[in-house]
Amino acid sequence: MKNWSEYRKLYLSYACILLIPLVMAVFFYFYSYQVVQRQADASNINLIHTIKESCDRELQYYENVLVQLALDKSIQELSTVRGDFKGEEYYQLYSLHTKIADLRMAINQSGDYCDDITVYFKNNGKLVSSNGCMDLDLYCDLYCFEDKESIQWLENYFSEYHVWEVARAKERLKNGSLPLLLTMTNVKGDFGETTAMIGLWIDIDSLTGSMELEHGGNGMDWLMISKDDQIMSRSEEFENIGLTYEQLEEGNDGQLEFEGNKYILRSLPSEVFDWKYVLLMPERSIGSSVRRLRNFFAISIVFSLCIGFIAASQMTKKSYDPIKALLDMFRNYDKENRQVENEYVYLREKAMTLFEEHSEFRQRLHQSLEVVRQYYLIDILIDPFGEQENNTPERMEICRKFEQGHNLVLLLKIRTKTGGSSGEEQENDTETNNLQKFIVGNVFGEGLSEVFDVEMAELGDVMAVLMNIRQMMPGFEEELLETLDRLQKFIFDNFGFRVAVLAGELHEGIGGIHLSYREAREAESFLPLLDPDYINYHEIQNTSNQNYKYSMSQEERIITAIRNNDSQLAVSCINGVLDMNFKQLKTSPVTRRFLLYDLAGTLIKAAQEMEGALGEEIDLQTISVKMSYQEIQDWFKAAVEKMCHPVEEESTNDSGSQLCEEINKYIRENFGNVELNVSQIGQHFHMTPAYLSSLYKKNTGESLLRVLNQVRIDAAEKLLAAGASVLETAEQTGFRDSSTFIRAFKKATGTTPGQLKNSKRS
Amino acid sequence: MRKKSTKLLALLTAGITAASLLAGCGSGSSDNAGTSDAAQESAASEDAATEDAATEDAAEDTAAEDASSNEDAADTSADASVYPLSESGTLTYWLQLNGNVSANFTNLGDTELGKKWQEDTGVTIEFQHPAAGQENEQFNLMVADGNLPDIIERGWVNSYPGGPEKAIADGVIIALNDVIDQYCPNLKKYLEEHPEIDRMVKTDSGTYFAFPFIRGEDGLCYTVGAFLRQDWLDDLGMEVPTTIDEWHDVLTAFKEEKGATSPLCFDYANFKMSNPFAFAYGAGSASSSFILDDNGELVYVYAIDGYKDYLTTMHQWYEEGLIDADYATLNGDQVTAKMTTDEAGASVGWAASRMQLFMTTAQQNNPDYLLVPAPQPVLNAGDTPEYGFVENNFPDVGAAITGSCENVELAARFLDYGYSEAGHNLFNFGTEGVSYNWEGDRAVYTETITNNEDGWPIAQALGKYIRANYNGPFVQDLNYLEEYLQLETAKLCPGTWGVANARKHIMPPITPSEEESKELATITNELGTYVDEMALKFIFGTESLDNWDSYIQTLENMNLSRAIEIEKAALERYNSR
Repeated sequence: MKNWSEYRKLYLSYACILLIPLVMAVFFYFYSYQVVQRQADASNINLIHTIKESCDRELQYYENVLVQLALDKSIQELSTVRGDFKGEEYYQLYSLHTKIADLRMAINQSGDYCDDITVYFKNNGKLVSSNGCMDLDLYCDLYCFEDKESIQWLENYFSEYHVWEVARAKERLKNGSLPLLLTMTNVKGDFGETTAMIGLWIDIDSLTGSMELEHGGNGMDWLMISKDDQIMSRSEEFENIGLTYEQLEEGNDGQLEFEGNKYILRSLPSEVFDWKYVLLMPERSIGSSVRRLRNFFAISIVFSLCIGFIAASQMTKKSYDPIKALLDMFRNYDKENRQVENEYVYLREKAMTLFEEHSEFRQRLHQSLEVVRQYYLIDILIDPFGEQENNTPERMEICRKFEQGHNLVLLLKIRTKTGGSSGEEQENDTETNNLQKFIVGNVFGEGLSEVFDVEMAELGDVMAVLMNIRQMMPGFEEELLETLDRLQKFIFDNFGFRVAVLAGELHEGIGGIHLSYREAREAESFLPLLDPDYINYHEIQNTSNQNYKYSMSQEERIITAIRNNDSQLAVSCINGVLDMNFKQLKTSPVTRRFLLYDLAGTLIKAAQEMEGALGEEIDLQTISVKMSYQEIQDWFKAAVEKMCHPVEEESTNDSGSQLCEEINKYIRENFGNVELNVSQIGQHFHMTPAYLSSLYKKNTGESLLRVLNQVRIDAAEKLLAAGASVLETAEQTGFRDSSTFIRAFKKATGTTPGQLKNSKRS
Repeated sequence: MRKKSTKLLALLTAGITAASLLAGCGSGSSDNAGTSDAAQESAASEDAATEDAATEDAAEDTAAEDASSNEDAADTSADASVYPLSESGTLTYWLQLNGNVSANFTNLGDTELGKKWQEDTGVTIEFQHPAAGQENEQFNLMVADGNLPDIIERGWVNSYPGGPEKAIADGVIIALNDVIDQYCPNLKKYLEEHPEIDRMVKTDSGTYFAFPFIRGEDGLCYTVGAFLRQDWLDDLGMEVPTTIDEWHDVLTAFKEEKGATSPLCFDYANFKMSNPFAFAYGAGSASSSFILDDNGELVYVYAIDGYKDYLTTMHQWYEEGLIDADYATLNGDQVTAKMTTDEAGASVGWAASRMQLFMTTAQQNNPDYLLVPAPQPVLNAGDTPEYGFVENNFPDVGAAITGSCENVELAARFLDYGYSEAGHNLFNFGTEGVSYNWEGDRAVYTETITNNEDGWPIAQALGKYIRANYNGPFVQDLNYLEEYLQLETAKLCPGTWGVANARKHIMPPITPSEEESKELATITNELGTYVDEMALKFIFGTESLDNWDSYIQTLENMNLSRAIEIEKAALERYNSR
């Protein structure tokens, strides 16, 4: 609707633009009509004046001729002759004839105006003309009229008395001209009567024609009207025009309608004769020139409009360029900063930066998503209870993957060749460690995801592989083993280090992940003991059960003995098991190794039940199958005695709380470090993270991870309150990035850092 | 066609030889001349004429042989006379438009003749015509202006002051001797065959100056004569008059018996000296005021005794009312009116344009109306006419190539066409199948000419197709005149009017030198005005013939002898060409 009204406005303005020249053209048309009319009128008046003058001059000349003839001696003499001429008089007639012929020639020098000059002698009916002397009858017959009436008229007219008069013949002469007869009598007639009549025959057609030719009055009609309203000039078409001498006054510009044409009249009286010259100017002649003018106007307007439109559109095309305008704007904006070669270079640069920013953003987003994913995967692995608390969409998505079927966790551990690493090379080691982790993550991620549905997560120096098996395939285990073996071999061949794979059991549902993880972790403990590349928890249990005799009752008896700090019973039990298996059953070294692990595991179990930290005492790395039987016995004995001691001394709690104090202190000092986590703390205190966590929990009743987080959140709250930005806070409080921080913060406090800041401010 | 032309040539040569022979005879016998001699001569001439006809066949054979041999020679010499010409072009051609043409056409190029002339020659011609009566003025203007057309056709001998030699010296026209020799085989051949004509068409120094109009036969030169009402003569039981006295009787009878108010009626302006009555007294002249008398002596015709006798007779006739009272001012129209309305019974004039015209006009009302030509009258019955009207074979009209012409060869070849066989037929007869057809050896005009559908007079109809009824650069054929003269009696005219010796007494086209001609013109103009005035006065009786001696004295005072001297010198030069 609005568009329509806009268009209407546009068209109205176009119409206005058109209207202006049109109005101007109409105005010019009428103005020029006036001018043309006035000019035509002026020129016509001029014309009638010149015609009048020329005609009058001619007539004056004729008058002179006639007067001269009237006074001619021979005519005078001949006119006195009564009766027929005689011989001598014929010679006079001959002379008169030659004289008249010469006169006629003289008159006709300027044009064929004079048809003839005649002298009529009434006394004897003789007529002398330039054609010869003859009787009037013969003259009429040869040169004048055929009509008897006209001949009679001529005879009568010649017999009458005329002094300088004019008559128009009723009929054309034999030579086709329409004559005007000017007459003059000879003055000296006896008794005053006319004896000779001199006539001058004027061809009015040729006279008026030459006048028009001379004065350029073509297309005009003009008349001579005598006193008795006879039209003297040619133009028989105006015979019945009905103009009268009286009507015409000098300078009078009348109008006349005749035979459907309008004429403008101009009249002038003659000075020689008693007649008036009338000029008839057809109105349409003005009309035609004005029509031409109008057509010219119309054409030129259309033409100029067209030209204008074309020019305007060309100019617009040339000048109106939105992109250029935009560029100019940009350039002006950037003028102070720099001078760009041209807009295209500038635009390209802009586009490049925009693209770079964009791609970086995507990368970052991807990274962040990866971090989130890692976080949740770790959460799922470690925290068996987080399920209910943090049901973010991301977590849900990950969980959904593992909800159905069975799950299996593999832990990939990089085996360093050198037994212990010196402090100096620690930094170097972490670097190679990171690289190796990266290699392992990629190789196994790639390799396993070809066959299985896997997720990778990094847990300190261990890579966790989460596998979801929807349906148990028959050859699954073999396939898995084969794949892993291949990948291990590939890494060793290409990168020169070995990777140990620790597998948990298959467990159902999302909770199974944690279980499997725990089992894998447990299997990890056997790593230094068994030194294989692949340790399956299932295998640990099954093989030991099958190949060596270590019943559950025996284990329980050992644990109970240890719990009761009865080290001797415990040692004897262990010895009994060892004795039976080593001596009596003579098991294979492999079996013995499992047995040793089993026994060590029993110790750990016992330690756990005692809730005492025996990690220091039971160093699984120090035990090996390669030791002698006695050494093994001694090792177990020492371990059991160690375990039993603290119970006796009741000092274990102090040392545990002291450790916790140290851990807390370490956390408070180092929470700003991003690298600080449970596994790093474990490293610092030379304990496995799991053990450290459990020890800590045992002593303080709180989860180490939670404490670490709490410390960080508290510090963050303080910083935020102090006015630090979210980003700064995240950096200073050791969060890997702001998003991790924000999530952790919200999880801990229920609000986001931004909200907290805002609420504080308001 | 070719055969026809050879015949014509044969006739021509035969005729001319006969004529010159007779002329020689006549001059020889005229010394001891009596009236009887003259009569004998006239008889002899008639005999000769019949003889001519009788020996025609015999003569034809030999002449034809001559002609054919000549033709062969011409064929070999004619280099490029193939029409239409291979080289086409445009030329401008100035000439006066004859009245018979101008009656219906404004330009000669619009006529059938003009079209065919251009078509046949392959040359485009832009004809220019001066206004009637202003030929000399416009010619003088043109010469003064220097802007000349390529070809000018007019008189050069008498009309150009100083004659053709002066015109060539002025650069107005060019000498044609080389031109004719190189490009004009037809004209060259004709002139070689006709030395007496060749003499006429060049100057004293032998320079050709124009492509001449030539009357090919003497029959064409006897164009003026007297004629009278045969029906009246029959009514009156009278014969065609042959002497002045007989004429007197006949005219008197016309006046008294037939009630003619003016028995003899002719226009003085045209025939004041060329009428047969003047010739009867040996005082007639076709054009010049100078003639050669019985002794071959050059005399001024207005000063001889014969002239006095002539005036005496005229005066007598005028007094008696035998001559029209308005005789001095008459013109053709009035003569026609009077001759056709029984006012007049006898007249003088041309065979076709007067006599034949009168008859055809009058016969519409009066079927009995009949005119017959009267032979040249003599003073005494039985005399042979010695003097008579005869025109020169070259009547001083010729088409000259001007000094402004850039393509002389083209102009010359174009003009030479008129003298070729095809050109001869075109100019004399027009377009075959349209204006004429061959009937045996004769060309006969078709109804297109004789019974024109536009209602034109025959002269005007001819003017559309031919030029033989006036002039042009070609040789006029007697065949034209014989066909033009349709009426029986009119056909008799050339034969009746012809006077064998007439040519002996006329002046050939002499060419006085420039200075001479100026002086001559001054003298003759003055003389002319005076003699014209006096002639009428003598006839009308205003002046008595007793004053003849003072008249002669006046002429002498006007330096007549000097004029004669100049003329004689020029004649001598002509004769020695």
